[in-house]
Amino acid sequence: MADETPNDLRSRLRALADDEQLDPGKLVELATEVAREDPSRAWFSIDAGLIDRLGLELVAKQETAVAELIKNAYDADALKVDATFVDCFKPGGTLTIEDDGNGMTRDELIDGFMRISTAHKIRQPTSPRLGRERAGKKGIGRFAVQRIGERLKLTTQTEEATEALVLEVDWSLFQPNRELATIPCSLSLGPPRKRGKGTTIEIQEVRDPWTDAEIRRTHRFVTGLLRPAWESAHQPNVASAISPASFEVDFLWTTKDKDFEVIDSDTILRESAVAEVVLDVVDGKIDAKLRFFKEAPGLEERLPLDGAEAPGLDGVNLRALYFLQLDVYVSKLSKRFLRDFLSEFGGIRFFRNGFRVPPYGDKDDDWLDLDSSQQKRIVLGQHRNQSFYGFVATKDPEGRLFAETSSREGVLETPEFKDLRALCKASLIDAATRVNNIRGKKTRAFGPPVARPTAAESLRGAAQDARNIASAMEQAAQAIHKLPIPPEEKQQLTDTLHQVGGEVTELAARVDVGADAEEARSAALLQEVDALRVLASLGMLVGEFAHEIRHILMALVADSKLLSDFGSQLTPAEVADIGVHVRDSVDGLRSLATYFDQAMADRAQRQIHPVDVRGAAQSFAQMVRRRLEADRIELTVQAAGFDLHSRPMHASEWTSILFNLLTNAEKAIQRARVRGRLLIKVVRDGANLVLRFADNGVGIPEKDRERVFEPFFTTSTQLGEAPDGTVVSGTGLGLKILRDIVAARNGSVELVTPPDGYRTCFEVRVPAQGGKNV
Amino acid sequence: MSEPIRYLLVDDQPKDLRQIAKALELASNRRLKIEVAGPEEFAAMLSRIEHFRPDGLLLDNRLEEHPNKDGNRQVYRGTALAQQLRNQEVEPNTGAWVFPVVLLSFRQNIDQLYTPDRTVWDLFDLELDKNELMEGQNLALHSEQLVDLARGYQLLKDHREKATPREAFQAAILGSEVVVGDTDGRFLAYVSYPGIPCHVVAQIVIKGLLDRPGLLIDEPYLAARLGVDRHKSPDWHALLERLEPIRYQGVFGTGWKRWWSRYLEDWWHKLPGAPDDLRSLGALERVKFLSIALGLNGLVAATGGHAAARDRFWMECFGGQIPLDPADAVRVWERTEAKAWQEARYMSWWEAHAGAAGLKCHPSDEERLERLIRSHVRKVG
Repeated sequence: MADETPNDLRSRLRALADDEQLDPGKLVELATEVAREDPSRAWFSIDAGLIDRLGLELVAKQETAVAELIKNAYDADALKVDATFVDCFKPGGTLTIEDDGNGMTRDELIDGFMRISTAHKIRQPTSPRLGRERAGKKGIGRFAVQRIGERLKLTTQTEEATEALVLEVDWSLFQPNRELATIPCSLSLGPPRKRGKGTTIEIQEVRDPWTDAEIRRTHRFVTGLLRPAWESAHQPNVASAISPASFEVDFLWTTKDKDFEVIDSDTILRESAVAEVVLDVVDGKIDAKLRFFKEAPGLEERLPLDGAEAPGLDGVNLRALYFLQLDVYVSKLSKRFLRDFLSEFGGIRFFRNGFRVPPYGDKDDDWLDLDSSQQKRIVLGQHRNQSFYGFVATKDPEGRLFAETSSREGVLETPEFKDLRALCKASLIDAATRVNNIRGKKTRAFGPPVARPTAAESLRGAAQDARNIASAMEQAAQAIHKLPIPPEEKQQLTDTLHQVGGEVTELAARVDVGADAEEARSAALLQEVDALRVLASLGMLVGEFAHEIRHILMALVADSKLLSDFGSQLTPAEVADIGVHVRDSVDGLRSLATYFDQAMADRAQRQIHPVDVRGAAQSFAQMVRRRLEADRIELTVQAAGFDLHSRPMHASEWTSILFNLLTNAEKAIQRARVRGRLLIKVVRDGANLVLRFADNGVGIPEKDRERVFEPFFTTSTQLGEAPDGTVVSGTGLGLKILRDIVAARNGSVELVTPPDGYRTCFEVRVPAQGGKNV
Repeated sequence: MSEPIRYLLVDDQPKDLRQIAKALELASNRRLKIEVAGPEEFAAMLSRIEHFRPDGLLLDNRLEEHPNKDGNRQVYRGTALAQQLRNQEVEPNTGAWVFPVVLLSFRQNIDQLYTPDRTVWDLFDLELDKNELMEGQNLALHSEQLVDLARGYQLLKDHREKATPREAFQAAILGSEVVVGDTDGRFLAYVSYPGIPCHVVAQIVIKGLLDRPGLLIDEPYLAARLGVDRHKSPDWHALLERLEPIRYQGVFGTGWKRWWSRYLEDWWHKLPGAPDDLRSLGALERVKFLSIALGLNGLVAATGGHAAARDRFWMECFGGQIPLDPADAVRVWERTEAKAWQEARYMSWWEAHAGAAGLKCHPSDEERLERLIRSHVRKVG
């Protein structure tokens, strides 16, 4: 067409414009050509290949690409996004991203989505309806689409529209050397969306295969945007206050022959949470509940603050999920997501009139002093920011109570805001304490429920009380100014209040110092107790060893006496016999020495390390061989699997555990008057390492099954069970010591149903060492 | 060589005891033959003993501690078995049951299970500790005692079966008629009471005559009374040979070497030029005289165990092995009081003061002890 003269072009243009069936595409093309012919002016133009280049250069990975599309949905005020991967494990599949956002009008689609380098998002930094901070990068979304698949079908519908707008793009048309503006895309009206307003992006003919890991990674990329919806049906006022927070993304992927899988962040959060704090201030009164999802599902308790007056905080809503990232609560699949999510979004966000106020609840912001409280270890239950996910919302339309600072960084420290802080902090800590008490009862099945506050806690409580009194006095001092009394009296009263208030504050500080000291003392004491426990293990070991050594020594002394005093009178056969005897004794001493060295070496280094429990059981069996032979007891050690390491412990602690179980079993066998049989079995059970110790002794009567772990509970009164003098076992402390050791390593010990042919079976359960770390 | 003396050793860990048994046999120049056995059911055990017809029995007390080779654990202790054996002897026609019964256990078990129980003290003729047996000269001493116990029981049994008249029986026990005439009548009456079984006679001899000083004294006492340090004196054994005429020759007299205490003073006075009173001389003077009178140059005078000790030695300290001057001695508070013909046991005042060896001063001597301590303190001050 380059041969055509400018006049030819103009006449063709005129003819096209006059055509009844005007083809706008051709018009644009021709107009561009006409412009090119202008001898005195020139225009920039855009090559269609740009789309491809932008897609590749702006969006390096396909995961990022999808994340960008989800961010767009977020920016469009969507509350829920479904990402569905159909047959995407190979090229050619379809990926659909469907949201319930604002949708686009025809103009918005053309001026926004289809216009490159639009200033739209820059002009509007927050989303139109929910005022969300824009998450998506400026206009990258559509290139992302091109990056992923060959064709795009975009269906969008606004709240007002009765039909959906359908845009179809075939990216293969966007070839280099073509003018971008001249490539048409199909735009039509379609039936209304099933979900009403919103946008669906269907990416067809996926270019690269997706892996399971990539899909999961994509989900993590958008983790930062997630805001679970809160159950609030029974309190509609809450729903409005928190709606900006709600944003869910569900991922489903499916192939022809495989059931689809789902990542549903809201479900993960709900399923992993241990409990939820629900607190509302209604008519100046606090209504505070703790709902359990784990440990005691369905249980709903009132928090200590429930029923208290909080006049300045009317309309406040606090919602927080409480998490303990433990294997028992969190499924393997959700573990990593939950960890990433909480490390990024753990904590309580502050919403004022439906809008989030930064920096409260940002990562590393500790506005409720949760992290610092955790560090002080006053309250022992987990209550870091990362243990919670939630928000506190207030209504204050006039901005009177929670006025923003001029820098728009947070709100002024008004008394109301201070109260709000105190209220949130106290409720969350109360909740954490309560949950851990309930847990404590369960995990330490044989110990008393630990619920008493420590001395330091009580002291700090007292200090806090004192401070509250001081602040009440401060408030009183303020109130005095409004009283109709002479100024000098006002002054006098105020002075007195200030003075006393100051003294009370000082007192509180002194109490805090005391609490610090008490805390340090308790910590030191705890360490000492730990050391004592290990020493007790070693002490018992020494006692048992002395007993064994005495026996071996007696034999050796007799042998040496025979050789030294009567050597010349012995027949060769007698000498040979003595030789065998001596060797046997020496072997016995050597295995004791090896065992003891190991135990002492661990102690000397004051180190704990993962213990190979199978190995421990086997060398223990070797060490007590002589003793069992004397009692004609048969000991079998069985182990299933290879990775049977416990979390770090002292080797001597295992010796102590096994010795205590052994002495116990020996007594039971002795009493049963049977040929003794013992079975030690080591298995791995999920995250735990389980050692079962069974004997065919008399068995333990039902009524004593709990009591055997009590100190000084002993049935050693029968003939043959007189205390041996050197041996700890037999004092009634054996099983108590055993329980203490196991409990200190977060394990448990209990009586379980014995295997066939045995009468008693103790099960020791300790956390196993993770396979990779050993 | 005559027939060996057959002992049966019953222990719940027979394997560990074989070497001890062998050592005892060898120490006795194979005069002893010790068979080691694990415990059986009570009746089976008795039957086994009856068939074995031992000359003596060595018995562990903790027979129930470990199961036997069949996996069975007994319910009785050595003391129960010993009691049954003693009862058997009182039954008619029970000659098979007359033999010594010796406790062979660990000191710790003896102290914990045996010593506190008064009712079992008379069951055993001898109590041996498995560990101590192997120390020093104990093996030789105790193997000799085992031999002599068996012989002594045989002697008692023979006389009993023959129904020997009282005087002859007393003479047989003490070794000679002359000695009987010189012996405390109360002891004689006690040991020859009509119809008492052999093991009771053996008990009276061992516990009433041999085990503590009184009518008889042992070697340390003998040395103390002669003022000789027996460990440092090369001629001690030569001296003992000279004393052979006054050595106890009665029943168990080979296993328990003892000397008649009243004949010792007689022996001293019969030495030419002997100073009048042995007791009033210090150790040096005694040894000086003995050396000259007996022509023994290798005698060394004993010394006391304390800087301020006096040296008219007459006994051995019960707490530590040192000779003791009665002026420095206080009575030991013992669990059994001495019989009329026995001496009390003594310890030095300084050891009593220090509370050494877990021994206590007898209440009747407490005032004396205080005076001794005070006078000593004054002297030093």
